[in-house]
Amino acid sequence: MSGLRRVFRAREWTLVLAVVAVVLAITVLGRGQQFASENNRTQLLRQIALLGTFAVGEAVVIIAGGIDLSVGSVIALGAMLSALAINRVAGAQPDAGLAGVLVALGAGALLGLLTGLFHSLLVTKLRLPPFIATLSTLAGLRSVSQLITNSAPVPVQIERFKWLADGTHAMYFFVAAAIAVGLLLGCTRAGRGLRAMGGNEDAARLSGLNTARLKTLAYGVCGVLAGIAGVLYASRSGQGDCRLGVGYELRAIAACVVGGCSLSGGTGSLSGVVLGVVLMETVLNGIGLVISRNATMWEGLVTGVVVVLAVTLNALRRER
Amino acid sequence: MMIRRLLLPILAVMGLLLAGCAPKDGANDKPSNLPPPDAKLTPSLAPSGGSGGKYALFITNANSPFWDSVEAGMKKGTAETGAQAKMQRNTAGDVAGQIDLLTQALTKKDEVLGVCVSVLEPGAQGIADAMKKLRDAGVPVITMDADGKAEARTAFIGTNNLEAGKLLGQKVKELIPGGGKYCAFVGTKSAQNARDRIAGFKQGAGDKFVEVEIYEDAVDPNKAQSNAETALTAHADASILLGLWSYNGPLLGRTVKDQKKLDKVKVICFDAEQNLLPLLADGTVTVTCVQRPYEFGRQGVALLNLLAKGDKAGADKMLGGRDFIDTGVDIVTKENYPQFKAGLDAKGLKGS
Repeated sequence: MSGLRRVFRAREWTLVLAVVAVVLAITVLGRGQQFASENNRTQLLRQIALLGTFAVGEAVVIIAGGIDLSVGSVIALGAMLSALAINRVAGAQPDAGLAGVLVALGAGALLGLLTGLFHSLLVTKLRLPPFIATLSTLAGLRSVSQLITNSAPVPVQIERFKWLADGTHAMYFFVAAAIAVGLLLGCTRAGRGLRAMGGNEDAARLSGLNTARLKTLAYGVCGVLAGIAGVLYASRSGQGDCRLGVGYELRAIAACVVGGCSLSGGTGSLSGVVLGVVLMETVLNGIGLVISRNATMWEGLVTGVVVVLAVTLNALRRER
Repeated sequence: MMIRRLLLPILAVMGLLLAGCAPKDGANDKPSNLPPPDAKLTPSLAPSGGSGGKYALFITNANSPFWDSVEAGMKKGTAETGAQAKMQRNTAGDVAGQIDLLTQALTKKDEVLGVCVSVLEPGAQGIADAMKKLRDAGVPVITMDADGKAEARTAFIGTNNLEAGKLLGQKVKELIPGGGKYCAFVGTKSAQNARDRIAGFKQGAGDKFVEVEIYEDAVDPNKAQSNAETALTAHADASILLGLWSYNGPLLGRTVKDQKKLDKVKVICFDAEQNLLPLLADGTVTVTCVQRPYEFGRQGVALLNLLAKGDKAGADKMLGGRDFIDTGVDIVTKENYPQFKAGLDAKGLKGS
């Protein structure tokens, strides 16, 4: 029982209850059958996986005391580069091999890694605030994603590429990302260092932690996962598209905050972020089912209310 | 320390300048008060000679593939008339960026034959003022794709979206005589072209077609696809999905195909982005209504050339006594797709 408590502390149970309450509300409002339908389950799991893949990366940066505003633009550029890469390697052959898919994933991950390293350079060497450093790439990478094809989408007709985000396959990437981040944060010295640095950077440095290296790790992980998410989004829509990912950094940050991360750093758990993602996507899914007219107009309002409620509950819990 | 002091303001300014670079549909904010499409939609443009090294300047409202077709048409127009032309894309995608481009044109008025602009916000006084200053300086100004204030331009070249919607509605009525419920999908439903298209569709399709929901996606392809999936679940009785903006059609087609509901749900849409073409060819998309941005470019060059030369008779003939040219639309189904594709190929276009 104590082991279970360690995994799911009180805050996470609150999130579990919130998810259950949302599902119950959807059912009570007469949309339970639709919610449980195969198509809707697939859609919901895919949306959770797509958001979750880059939200857990954002969580690493937030727990380390930083912020990464560039993930939406990394997703767009990652989608464009992966589509260009697989078309270059595999040509227009619909039955192209695994190598092309790996090259596409590699292109997205490499872009993310380089972006993360660039952020680390700006933050550690030039001592720019993370907000400014990542704001510059938020704008700059979006611009690059438009320039490389003059804003033209890059269609991909390769079946293996489509497989990546077909059905619930994106969940493999999300689960892998969550396990990797969970192990990093919970089972390694670096993970403890990230949390310590997020809580008090000066104290962490004075106690001998290499904070520059830890920041490189945090921004690198976040960048790689955002790049991979870009590949998944390209797979899903069947094309690299520079219109992808606008505002997604805010969705990731919101999921982290709902999951219990503090924007001042040092606080947060992987299980909380995963549940935050699940809660937010379940709420959005439920809105689409329950509200039969102008559903999309309600999404922002309801999401805002969920974020405020979650942060308020966290604050009240800390005061206790 | 000095580097840091300099970098902070530079990066902050860069951020402000580049923020909001998200592309927008190139066909926003169309006027709703245009008469029906002209039967003579693509008049032959007689060569009228060059204009002493000056060029016709095309200013877009944003940056998207839509403008590639306009640019291809510009090249055709220059070949037909002997005039020169350049396109400047409003990559900032905002009103201030467009005003800057118009102001730059005024600075270069000695080398500009005339200006053809797609007005980002018809109500933005700053854009209208910049257009008026150009006209006061003797530079002809016309609008394309999205019209501005009538007093600030000589003429408008574009699509009558109300009529385009009506034509699509009539075709759908012919293809699905029994009618049905439909969900519509668009980036922003308050955009004038979206309102005109859906109003026209209702008029053309008639009472047997019932709108159950309009989904907005803020030009996010992932959201657009998610909306399609939600619609198929939440409105299982809807038998038609209507994509109003260019990217909606391919995403709707793909979603319905993936969910194996092609026998129950028909996809209809506007425009023909590159990845819509295979879905049109195999019948996944039942019908699409395609604008002719190529003609915006081609006829825009010709009209500016005539206006710059002071050839009033030529300009009047081209305008047919009105202050606009409706370039019309193509209604494309699986049956006439080969001819449509051949037309694109002949113009060197990947989509339209």
